[in-house]
Amino acid sequence: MRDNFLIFLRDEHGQIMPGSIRQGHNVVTNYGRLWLSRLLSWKLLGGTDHPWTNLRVRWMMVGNGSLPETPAVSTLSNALLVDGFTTYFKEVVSPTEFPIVTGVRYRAVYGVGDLSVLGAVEVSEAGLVLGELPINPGSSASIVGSSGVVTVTGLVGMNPLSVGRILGVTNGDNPGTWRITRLLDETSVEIDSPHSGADSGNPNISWYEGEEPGYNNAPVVAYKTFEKIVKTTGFSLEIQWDFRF
Amino acid sequence: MWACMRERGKLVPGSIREGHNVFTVTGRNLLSKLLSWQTIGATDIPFTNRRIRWMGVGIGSQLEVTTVSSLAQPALVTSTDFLVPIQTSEFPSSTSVRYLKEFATNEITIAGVPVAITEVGLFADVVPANMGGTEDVGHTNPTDPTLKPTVGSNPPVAYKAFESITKTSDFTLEIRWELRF
Repeated sequence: MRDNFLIFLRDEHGQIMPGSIRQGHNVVTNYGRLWLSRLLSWKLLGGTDHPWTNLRVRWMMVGNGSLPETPAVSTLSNALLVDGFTTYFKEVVSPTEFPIVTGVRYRAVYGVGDLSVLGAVEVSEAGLVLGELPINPGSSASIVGSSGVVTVTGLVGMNPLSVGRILGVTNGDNPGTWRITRLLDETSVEIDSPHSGADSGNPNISWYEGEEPGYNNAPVVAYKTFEKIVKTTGFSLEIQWDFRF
Repeated sequence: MWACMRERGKLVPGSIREGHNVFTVTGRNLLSKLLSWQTIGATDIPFTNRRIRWMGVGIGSQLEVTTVSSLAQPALVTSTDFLVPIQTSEFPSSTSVRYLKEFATNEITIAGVPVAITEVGLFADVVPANMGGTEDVGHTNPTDPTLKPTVGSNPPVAYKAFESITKTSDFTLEIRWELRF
């Protein structure tokens, strides 16, 4: 296949803006390859099978930076806010399209108000991000330590592949968000900052499997950089991203 | 794919077979569906939850092409089952997975008669069938290993044919299957 990535602008009449088409091959990142090897496999077989991961392609993210297209890419160089304030992710259009039996196409359509809400923006890179909703609820989890190495234990049912954030919520605890920095084992992780809550024994933890839309350094499973496109509120931006096997 | 026989743990000389598999159209279709959500919303719904779950062997052979839709001549592993669960999935590197199955001395050679194994396949499945994948619900006999894998409704996702290995009830047959991404 010659190209598997296509991006272009459309005007208010749905016409493709001349000169706005960019296309080419993406790179599947090391994280994407790791995810694929886990996704295809069962962790436990039995009366009810348990997967290594349930994460699937859910979001797209675009930016105005550029990185060499190598498998070592972990995230975008400089992600752009979709709404101008809090959200970096755009949901892919569902249901997903299958142009051929052995291929899948992800599409995202940024509306006229997306990205360029605060003025014209340059777009020069894009990535695919994994996710799953609803949030996987934690149970009986505990935060251990309040300085130095801080860990969360008792994450029964945690996905070992999870790179998502841990969300500490309610129950007298200071609501907070921490990023998992290291997987210690299948029920405990190290998080990125000391926990300041007083009731560290029962913080009622829940966590995302996948990423939060407000996180601009989310790992991407595939990456593409291209000659910049300038998006204004006069245009929508469309991306088509194909995988063929 | 790498296969060998062992007798009381020791490698049987001349029993190693190795080579590249073919990932079938069925497997490629599974990958494209497994990567994707069918519906995105408050509760995401997948197309499928099927993953590589079974291994089956056969005594036939056919061209290793993507259109392979069954084992040429499947062999019973137990007295009733053509397919057996994969024993372990391990990850030799961060971007690969290895499936392992060791067929015991009393498997395949059920009647005590030597069996010349010449082909092997990987099969996908989910137990229970209805775990939310919209395309899994109508799957034929999704948890029934007695389903003879010559039947077109249960095609392998990966296939390998090789020079025959004759398994007797003295030997175990070890098959390691590695997929790299």
